[in-house]
Amino acid sequence: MNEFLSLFSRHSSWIILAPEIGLTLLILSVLAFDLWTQINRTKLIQWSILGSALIGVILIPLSSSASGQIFQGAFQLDSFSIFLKEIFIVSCMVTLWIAHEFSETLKNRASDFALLILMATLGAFFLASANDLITLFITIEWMTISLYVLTAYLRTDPYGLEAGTKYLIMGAFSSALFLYGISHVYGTTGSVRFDHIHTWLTLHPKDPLFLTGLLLILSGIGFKIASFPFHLWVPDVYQGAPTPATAFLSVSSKTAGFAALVRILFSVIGPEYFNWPVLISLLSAATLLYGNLGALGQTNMKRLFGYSSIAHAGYLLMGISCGTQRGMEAVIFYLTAYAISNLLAFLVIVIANRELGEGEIIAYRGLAKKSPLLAGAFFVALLSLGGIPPLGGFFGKFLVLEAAVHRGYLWLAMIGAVNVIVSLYYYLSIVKEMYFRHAAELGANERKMNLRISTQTLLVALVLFVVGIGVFQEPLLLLAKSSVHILFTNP
Amino acid sequence: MLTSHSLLPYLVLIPLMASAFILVVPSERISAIRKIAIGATFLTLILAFFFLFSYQPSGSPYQFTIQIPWVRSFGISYHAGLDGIGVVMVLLHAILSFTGALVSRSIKQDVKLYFIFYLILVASIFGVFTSLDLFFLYLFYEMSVIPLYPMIGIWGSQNREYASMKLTLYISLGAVIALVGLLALYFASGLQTFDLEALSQQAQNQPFSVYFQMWCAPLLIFGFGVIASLWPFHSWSPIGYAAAPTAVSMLHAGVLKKLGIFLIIRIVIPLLPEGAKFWLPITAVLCIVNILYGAWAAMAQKDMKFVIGFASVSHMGYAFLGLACLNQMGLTATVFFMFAHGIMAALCFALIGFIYDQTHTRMIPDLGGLAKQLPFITVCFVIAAFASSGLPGFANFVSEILIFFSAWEHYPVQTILAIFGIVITATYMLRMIRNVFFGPPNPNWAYLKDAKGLAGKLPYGFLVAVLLIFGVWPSLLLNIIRPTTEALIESRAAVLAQYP
Repeated sequence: MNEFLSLFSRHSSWIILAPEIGLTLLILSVLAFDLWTQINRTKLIQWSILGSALIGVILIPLSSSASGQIFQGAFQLDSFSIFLKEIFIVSCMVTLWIAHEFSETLKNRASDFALLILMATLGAFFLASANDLITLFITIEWMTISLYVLTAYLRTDPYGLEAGTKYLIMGAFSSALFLYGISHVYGTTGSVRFDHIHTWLTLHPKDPLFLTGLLLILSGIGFKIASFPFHLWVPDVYQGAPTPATAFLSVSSKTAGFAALVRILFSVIGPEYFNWPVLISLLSAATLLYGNLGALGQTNMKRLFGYSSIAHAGYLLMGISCGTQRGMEAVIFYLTAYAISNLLAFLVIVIANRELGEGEIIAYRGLAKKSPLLAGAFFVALLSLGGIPPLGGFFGKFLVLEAAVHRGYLWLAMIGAVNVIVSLYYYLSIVKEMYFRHAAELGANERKMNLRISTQTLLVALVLFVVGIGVFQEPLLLLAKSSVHILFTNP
Repeated sequence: MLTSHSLLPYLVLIPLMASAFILVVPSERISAIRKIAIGATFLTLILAFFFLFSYQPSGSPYQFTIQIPWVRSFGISYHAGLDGIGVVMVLLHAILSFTGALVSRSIKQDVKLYFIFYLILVASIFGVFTSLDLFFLYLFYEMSVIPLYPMIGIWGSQNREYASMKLTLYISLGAVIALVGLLALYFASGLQTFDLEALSQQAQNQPFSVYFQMWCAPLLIFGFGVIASLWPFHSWSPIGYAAAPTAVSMLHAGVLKKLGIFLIIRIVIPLLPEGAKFWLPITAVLCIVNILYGAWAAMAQKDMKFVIGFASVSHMGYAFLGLACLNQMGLTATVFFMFAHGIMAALCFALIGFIYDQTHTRMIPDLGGLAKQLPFITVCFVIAAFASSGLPGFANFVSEILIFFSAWEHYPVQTILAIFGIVITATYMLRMIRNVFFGPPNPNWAYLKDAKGLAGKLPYGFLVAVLLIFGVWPSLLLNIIRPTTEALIESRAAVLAQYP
């Protein structure tokens, strides 16, 4: 195996790009099959799930054997970007699966939908490796433009169109802010490369024009991660978008936003400049409170998840605001647990909404009777998101709070801890609808749901993963440690 | 190699494995599921008795220990062990979870789901009592709260949705506040370990700064105090018990409530003695509100479960009073009181559950003259009521009198008020007995059937026997508890010497 790898190492730039090349080939072949053959559209989705699984299992680990920069330093592969790519590809796979469950609604446009998800994932791959502001901007746009189409995909659904329009306007606005910020940074520093900017900053640590640019860039990213005060689009878009698109928004798009944020705050700026940890900690508290309090009165499932995703952004910001390696490890762990739990939840939501015919929380009444597996998986996902041991989400919250206490943000840790209770209220309200109705109250329309064996397997696998990282935390923690290490060794 | 010290994790593993096993049993095979659950809890009961009899009071402070590194970079390890207090609490929990599984026969719907949650609950409480690592302690503690929500919500009675949500949120809130305190403790020690023994050693050699102890201790005392229903954080308790199915009421009033006191003894007193010295006198005032207000509220109730629910709020006041003495006798008495009260409260809930299953009412005015149809149940209930009112001959009497003896020195006013609480307790318990079991027989209840056969009488008879045995032979447990509390107080003697 080693000789095999060394054979390639002479062309290491190709190894570095292996996942991107693989994904591009996958996209091209899906496009080709879609255009020129009469292959069943849902079959095509299944093939793309398999293809992305291969990328995740073979190509990304292969690329990790080499690391470094290519394209004159615009593209950098390090342990952090490898970790992100694994998250993106897993999210892509499960989202495709969700789209597969959704293909009745998408009908013959299902393959285009899958194609857009793959395209956005390719953008996310490049984003994970972006090493200058222009690449970062382009890759964010790349993802976002795919998402504009995905959110407005159901052309006859007025809510979907509203969501698409809202997302488009907000997204365009945030892109403009981002770009304007880049122009400031470029104007002051004379470069867009991360390392060059960082070097410049060590010489001019308190430049006000640079700070303006930085704030504009952070605002642009704030839209992506749905942080307060840039979160207003979230509930409507989450509710109106097709469920697979919502899942993708809440996992891949959010992860991408956080990746960009982390790169800028740690690789470009560094925690010692501008005292940004204080700013982020304030944003974190506001985001937590807004997301959790907003979620309390919700009656629509996807809308509730919109608010809850704002709240989770608050916890992730809390980890970042520590500005320490411990905090970033916590962020990585939290992000993984959140991503898997949320994907699990959306897999349940897409099936339940299809079978129940609507997306109101009240429609989930008695789900435990109709499909014990579906309800059980949702129960685990909700408890993990709520931060209940021994599930992955608990250890994520534990690490984030721990990092905050370590940093001395006792007040923030307290807000985070109390917000666990608020979130528990709305997560448990869903559990109540699923489980608490006795057979007598449910009426006659009792119908058992039948799930595909493959979907059942995926549900069980995701549940086991959520439980697994919650009980045996060390492997993921070590991975998190090694992947954020690079952020603190850079110049 | 199966040595005695490696048996401790099985207290957690047996119920968890049984729970996982039930998951794959088809839900129609109800009797098989019941047998698995009863079998698993019976095994833990045998283990608990094994620990009780093989524990060496003069031996090392923690016995049957096992330590497995878990997350090395954070200093988390699965470290389990039992001291004298742990042995007694494990015994209490094992007795109640076994009898709880027995009385769960009355559960008719979703039996499979019920026992899955029940066994997770049982396992996590064992986890709290055996863990010597703050991380695992907290993990099991929080884990024990969650099965309660569906259990009360699905199998509960009146007001179950409101009650289950209120109970879960209250207790979780206490838990997360305590978590912040625990994390602060972790960093303040500078040891990079969650290991309780190591932290305790450190606290002895190099105590935490007084300032730190002052603000960290209330986070833990009041955070854990919520689950022990310390006034004014008690309001979830009566309503939760009233709604919960019988076995959950038994476990909750019997064991879960004691977790709060147990954790204060285990964490706050050894690690933050200065904080305890400052804050526990405040709880000594609050606990009098517990005793008097709880008892007064119990007087006014018409629902039998509410009476016992408020009574348990009232009784937890005695535990806090004993705790606040911060001396060897007070702590010993508190632990023994927790044991005695756990058995007594569970017995009351079990008997009320028995009556409710047949009558479908728990309202005292609707009942009356049940002694004629239910002689066995009546006898058991009268015994429980006597124990509850602290009559001599029961474990409760021994522990309460010890608490008063040790409290008199520090808190004479509170002690007098607390003794007055006993009078109120006797009033409402005896009044309930008169109105439910005696008086003119009510023809509506002529059809009631008494507990029959060994299987029917076993859970109630077993609990009565435990109450009586430890009432006449308290030294069996006291001799196990005392060395532990003695060592605990002596190791912090320098701080606690100038205690008021």
